[in-house]
Amino acid sequence: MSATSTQGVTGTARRIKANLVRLAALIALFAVWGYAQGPGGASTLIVPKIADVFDEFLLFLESSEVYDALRVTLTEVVISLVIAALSAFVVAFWAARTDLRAKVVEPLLVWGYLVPHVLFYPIIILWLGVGMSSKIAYAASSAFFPIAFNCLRAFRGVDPKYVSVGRAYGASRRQMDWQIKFRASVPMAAAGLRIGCALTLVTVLVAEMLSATNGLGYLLKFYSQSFNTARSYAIILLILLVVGIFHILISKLLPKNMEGQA
Amino acid sequence: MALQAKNLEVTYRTAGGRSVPALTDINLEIADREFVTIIGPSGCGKSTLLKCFGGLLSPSSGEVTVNGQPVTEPDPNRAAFVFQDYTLLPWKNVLDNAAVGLHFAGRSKAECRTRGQEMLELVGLEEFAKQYPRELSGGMQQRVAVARAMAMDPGILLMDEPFGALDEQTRQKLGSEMGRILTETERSVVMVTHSLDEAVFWADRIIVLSARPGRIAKEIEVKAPRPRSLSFIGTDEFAMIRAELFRLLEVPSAMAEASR
Repeated sequence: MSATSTQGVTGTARRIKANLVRLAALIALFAVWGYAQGPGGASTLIVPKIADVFDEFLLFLESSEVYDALRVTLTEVVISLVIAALSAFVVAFWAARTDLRAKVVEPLLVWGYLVPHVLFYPIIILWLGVGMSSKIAYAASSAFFPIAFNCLRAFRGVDPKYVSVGRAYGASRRQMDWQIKFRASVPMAAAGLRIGCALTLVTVLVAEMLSATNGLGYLLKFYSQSFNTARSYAIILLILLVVGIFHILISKLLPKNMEGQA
Repeated sequence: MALQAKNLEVTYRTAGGRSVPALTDINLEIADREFVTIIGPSGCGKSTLLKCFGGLLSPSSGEVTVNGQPVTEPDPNRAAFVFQDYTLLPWKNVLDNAAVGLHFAGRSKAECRTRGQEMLELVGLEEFAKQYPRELSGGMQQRVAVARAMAMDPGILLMDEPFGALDEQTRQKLGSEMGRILTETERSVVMVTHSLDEAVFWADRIIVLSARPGRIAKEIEVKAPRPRSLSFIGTDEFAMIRAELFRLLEVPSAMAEASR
């Protein structure tokens, strides 16, 4: 017990140290920014004043425009993620049932993963218009492939020793599927879901910047094109915050890796 | 419970399509409450034989019967496995791992909990019920694996190098504890091992397998009554049998002569 507690102390010390280094890096970034703006003499069109960006940010938080955009973007992300995850799970589960299916489907998933989906975005716009549904379709199709690929690999690659335990201890076919094979594949499937989460956020924002009528990506494009640099920076700051919160949520909600028995 | 193997033969097919005999001509009977250890050079099919006994593997020919009933499928009530690398399920806590066989058999939650807790008490881990396997040492994990097997109240316990992955000290400590448990429960035990000391110390009877394809080279009875205290290791009987095993396993001509 004493060993674990000392380990805990050094672990905390290390964490504090790492956070100090991170803070120093952030301060350095602002120092460079401040220097470029002041003595460096960079144009405010390229690098706005730090104070201006924060003023814009606060002003921005009081406008209804930003909450509208935030709501649209988050709705698109969540719906596309749910669609991608559910369909990927079903496809992977179906394909993992036989060798033949897995052999046919796996290269397709790899191929779908590697293809730049942005190629199809103009066509998706033609089909679904510039509203939310085109963003959802685009983001869901991008996130589908890595999630499905990882799930398929996870379902196929269940460690045979767990299957042996299931057989030796009398698991029925159903119990083997759900309580052994599915459960054993959760860590890897979750890794795919993590990639999918990051991808939906990126693709939704990019799609909004390409052609949309609302959303954070749309706002960013709108203000940067009208040379409102300070406001563009403020939007980027907001998006970074959203991304940060999103990733914290993902790491909290998705199951941790339970492997490592030793 | 009496286990019988008749003309057992297992042949593997390699990726190239060649068939490789792993076990041949195994005829064996294990009596009720008998403790049998199986020893042999690595790759001789010890674990394969154990899997056939438990129905995890179907022999290419011949058959295994328990009390006259042919073994075709694993049945943890008939014969329960303790695997070499413990293989507890990492997503279940210690209590649920101990009761996993009961859970699969559809017993009620309350029954799983009570019986699981009893078994953890038997192996001295009742305080770790809510912990996860990764938080336990190797020796403790193996005790959970023993509890999992005992929870099924099996007629036969099949142990595949149960102490193989542990360091020497843990092995000895765990070994003497297991001795108490295995002796008190009065069931047949088949234990595969590669340790000469273990093979002699535990056994009523030692089965020596020859190198691939594995066949029974020799059966040696250990007469000293069980349970044995550690002082048994200092006796002449122990020393003589151990020397005999050493000769069989380390001197190729001795094994060849014995299997003829």
